[in-house]
Amino acid sequence: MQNMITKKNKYISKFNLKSVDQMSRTERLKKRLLDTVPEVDSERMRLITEAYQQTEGQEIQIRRAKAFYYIVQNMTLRLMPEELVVGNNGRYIKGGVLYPENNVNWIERDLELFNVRPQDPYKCSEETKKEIAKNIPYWKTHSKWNMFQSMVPDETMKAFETEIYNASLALNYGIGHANCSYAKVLRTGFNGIRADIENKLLEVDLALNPNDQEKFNFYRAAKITLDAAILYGKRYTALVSEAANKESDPVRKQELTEIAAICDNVSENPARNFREACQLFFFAQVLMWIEQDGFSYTPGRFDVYMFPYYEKDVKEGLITREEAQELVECLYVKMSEINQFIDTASAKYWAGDPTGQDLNIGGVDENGNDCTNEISYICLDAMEHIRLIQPNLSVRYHNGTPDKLRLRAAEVIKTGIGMPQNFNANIAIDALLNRGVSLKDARNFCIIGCVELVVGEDNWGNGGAAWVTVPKMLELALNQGVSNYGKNKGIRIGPETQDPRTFQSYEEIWSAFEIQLKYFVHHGAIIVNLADWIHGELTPQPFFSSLCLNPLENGKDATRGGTRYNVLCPQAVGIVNVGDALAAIKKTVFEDKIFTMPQIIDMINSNFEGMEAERQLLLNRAPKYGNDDNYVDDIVASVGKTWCNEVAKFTIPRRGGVHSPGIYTVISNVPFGAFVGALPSGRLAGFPLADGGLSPQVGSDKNGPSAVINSAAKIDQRMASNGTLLNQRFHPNTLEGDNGTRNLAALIKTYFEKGGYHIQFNVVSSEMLRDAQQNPDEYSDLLVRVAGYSAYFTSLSPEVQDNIIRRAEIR
Amino acid sequence: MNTKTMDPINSLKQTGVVFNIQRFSTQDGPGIRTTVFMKGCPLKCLWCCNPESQHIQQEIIFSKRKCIHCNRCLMSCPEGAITVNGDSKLIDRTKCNLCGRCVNTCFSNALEIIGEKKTVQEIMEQIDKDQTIYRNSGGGVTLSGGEPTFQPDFSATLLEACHSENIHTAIETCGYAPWEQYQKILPFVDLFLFDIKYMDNQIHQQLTGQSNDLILKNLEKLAKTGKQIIVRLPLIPDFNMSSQNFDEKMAYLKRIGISVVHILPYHKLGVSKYEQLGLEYQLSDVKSISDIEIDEIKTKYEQAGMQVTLFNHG
Repeated sequence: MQNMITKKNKYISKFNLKSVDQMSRTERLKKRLLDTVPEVDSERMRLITEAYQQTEGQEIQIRRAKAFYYIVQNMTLRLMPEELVVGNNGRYIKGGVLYPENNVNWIERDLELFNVRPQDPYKCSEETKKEIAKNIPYWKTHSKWNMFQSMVPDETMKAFETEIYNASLALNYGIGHANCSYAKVLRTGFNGIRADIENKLLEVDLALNPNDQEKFNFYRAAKITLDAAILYGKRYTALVSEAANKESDPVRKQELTEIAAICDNVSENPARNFREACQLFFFAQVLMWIEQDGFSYTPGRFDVYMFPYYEKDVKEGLITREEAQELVECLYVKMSEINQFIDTASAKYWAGDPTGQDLNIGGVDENGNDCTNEISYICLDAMEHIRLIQPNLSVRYHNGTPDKLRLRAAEVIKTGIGMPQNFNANIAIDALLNRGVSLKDARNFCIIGCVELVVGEDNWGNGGAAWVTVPKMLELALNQGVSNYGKNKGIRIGPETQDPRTFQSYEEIWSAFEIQLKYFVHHGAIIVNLADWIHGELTPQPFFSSLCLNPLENGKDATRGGTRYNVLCPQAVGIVNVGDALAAIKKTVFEDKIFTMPQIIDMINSNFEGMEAERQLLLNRAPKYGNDDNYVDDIVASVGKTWCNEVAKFTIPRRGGVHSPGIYTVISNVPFGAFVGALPSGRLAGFPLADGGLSPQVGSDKNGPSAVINSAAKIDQRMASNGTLLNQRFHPNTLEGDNGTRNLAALIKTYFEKGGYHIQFNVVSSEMLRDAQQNPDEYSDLLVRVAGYSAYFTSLSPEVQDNIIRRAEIR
Repeated sequence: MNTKTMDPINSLKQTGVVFNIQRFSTQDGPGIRTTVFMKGCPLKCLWCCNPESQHIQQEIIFSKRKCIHCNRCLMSCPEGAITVNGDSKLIDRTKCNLCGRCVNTCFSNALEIIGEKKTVQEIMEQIDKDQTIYRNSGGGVTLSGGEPTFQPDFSATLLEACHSENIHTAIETCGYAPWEQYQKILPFVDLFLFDIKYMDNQIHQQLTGQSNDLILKNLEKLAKTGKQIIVRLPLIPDFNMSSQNFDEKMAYLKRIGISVVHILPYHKLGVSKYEQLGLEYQLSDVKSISDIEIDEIKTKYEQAGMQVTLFNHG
């Protein structure tokens, strides 16, 4: 096919044009990252197997702590050329580190697929495979999955086995999705936290308070993990010192000597300056990942807790802005070196190796005053320069956000990297107030992973507990609970509701849909609660817990209710498709009487076979979400509200707290869509569902982006307390120049004034993306927005690439 | 000056013929705007990218790309005006009386009637949906076309209604209308986007079907009113890109005190509309302009002391 791309629209990677010696330090570090093919790393799996074998029969928190210590003591440490910040979670850059304590079944099942799978392949040597295979048998009886099967009620298991849910994260991996108090870590140091724990241990008197045994176990475990953290820093001090001794280049020798001194201090003590703060931040970050995997160990309000160190250093003449930006870029590289290794099926849902290390900037302090500072801008500048997939950069907007930040954010978005993503602090705060959070704590909210919302520094969120496909429930309501499409076609998987051919009113359809929705939310609640409880039972996280604010006060692990706030968060996928479908029936059957219910049922049962004209009528004459049309927008809003209200009815076992509903898809709209039959909106069976969460179905929005934001703002996003997501894609020409920057900033501001929670942009043309599909080598650092995260376009499978190209392009 | 005072109830019921209301327009004046495209234009420019805007009467269009070949339209037409033509349809526009029956049966929207009578109130309802974004972006409403002064009373009322809500207004005009019609709208327009196509009158007539005398006179009068004016210069290869035309234009603009221009390079985005209207596109041989040529021209204007914005659809 002839390539029609004009020179103007071709992506010219400044980075790719440079030779290595023209590059800056961080550009060379980036090159190393991009040139590295991910590889499976069996070391942690071997070490944790050995550790568990040595501690058979011991209390689980203590066992976990000892395993953490053993891994830290024995793992391979890496010091890479030129890096200024050190630390690693495994032997390889972007390595596939394994956590068999969660669920070894997928590791066994996928062992031969790692290097051939289409989405996110990993090299896996024969030696590695052998070592993995050797350690699999031990874990066959120690897995979250085994425990789940032994505990789950039969009917819930039946529901779980449909295609309605994807709850694989919580059962196959650690839960992650958490923000510890980095401010506390920087201020107190690992030794200081260890001292706090020792004092707490002294307070426990098991004779007087025999019920404090769990507290005692927790403190004892926590203390071991802090010993491990200190050991990790000391091991690095030794490694870097040795390298400094051997280094012949005097400049690097000096750098290494300084890094060794930094490591030595922060292995135990608080950070004294910006450089130390960066290193201690990353030790904490990478150690959490060594203790347990799971997406989205989230840096949170980086600008807020790092600024005091920067400000002091600048005053004292210890650092320049350029040096600070270089360090931040080094941190971005280190964060991008961590991969979350997931199974082949899940890679379709979380494509492009995202880790969700969400770095928030801006927002308000506990009194409601603006927090923007120079680090906020440095974070944006660093991302614009280095274009990496981590961290996931998020701006928190409020009424007092300076225009300078709004415009600078818009400029960076316009470079096409999909970042920063944009959040409305007002809605986030209201959403948390709805869930019983105090105003002061709500203002300290934290965006986790993609768009998930928790209270910062003291919240165990389980933000990715499950994704739930709501259109399938409508399909069931239109077929008496029997699946119409996918692997369960012809099988009754939902409650038996009224024969759809006999529906006499819109209200009757709505009630059938509501019955299906309630049924699956109910069983979904059992599933996510079980997975959450099992996580606390089998894989408590004493190290992570020690870095949060409250668990040490409570004497309880974060995974068992130690943090002040607790939520558990399932996400709705496809509420837009349900709204479009219901609106089509309401309009064409009950109002305009163009079709009868039996005709509609015949159309969807046959996937519109031989009924293309009727399908076109449904597509073009029935109202569609995304056009600022109350008729259908109000229905989508009702679906969203019903979802949120149903989910929020449930509470969490052991930890307390509530289920907190989200409305966002990640990229699950593609694989989920493949299981959902034809819908009365005219959508064909198997076609992807609407992406994002609040984005219109592909091809539906005809009135431009301001109509889309108006539609989306009609959904009460304060109810969706785990976040909503709206994608928009612009042709770069539309946003050219300073006017374009102002217009983009105005679009974000307008959406937020109207009640939107989140919006993100791809500023990239279809021609460019098609060209990238044809010539992947020229586009190796083309970042695009996938879901609540950015990924390298060329790392995505053709299906996911096509899904991004299909998103409406505004020009 | 002939300003009219608005009778709020009756004037909101006033109707005009409009063929599109486009939200989130970013190239029709400052900020984010809603552009109201009005039907009917006194010029017939060869390169017109909105040929459906030229006549004030309604027109039927057929888009081959959207046709699903269900042939319901053939059966629905009482005049027998639609016939199959290979994999397309042929509309006999001499038989078609725009009854709209075929459009109603065309579920894929391959057949559409262009142009709709709308009241000021109906249009204001659309305009009001984006009030917040106008405020945040410094945007507003632009009347385009076609030619807004072709329906002067309606345009004046609509613009006045915008002003009464403090919405910034602009019009895109070809300049060809009796001065009295400009006077009607003048009090309610904040920005004029005024097209100049060619300085030589004879060539202007060949390219647009009309003389440029009136156009230039109107621009001169407008310039004296002190209103904000941006002159828009379409670049049509083989037609108006000669350096002589450029020099004449420059001298003229300087003389009447215009210093802000928009350059609109020729593009072919409107070509499919000619086919849909059953018309022949006369510039099919004209090549698109390269990025380099466009940059050169932009520099030339800038060197001549103009403040230039380029609108590139490439």
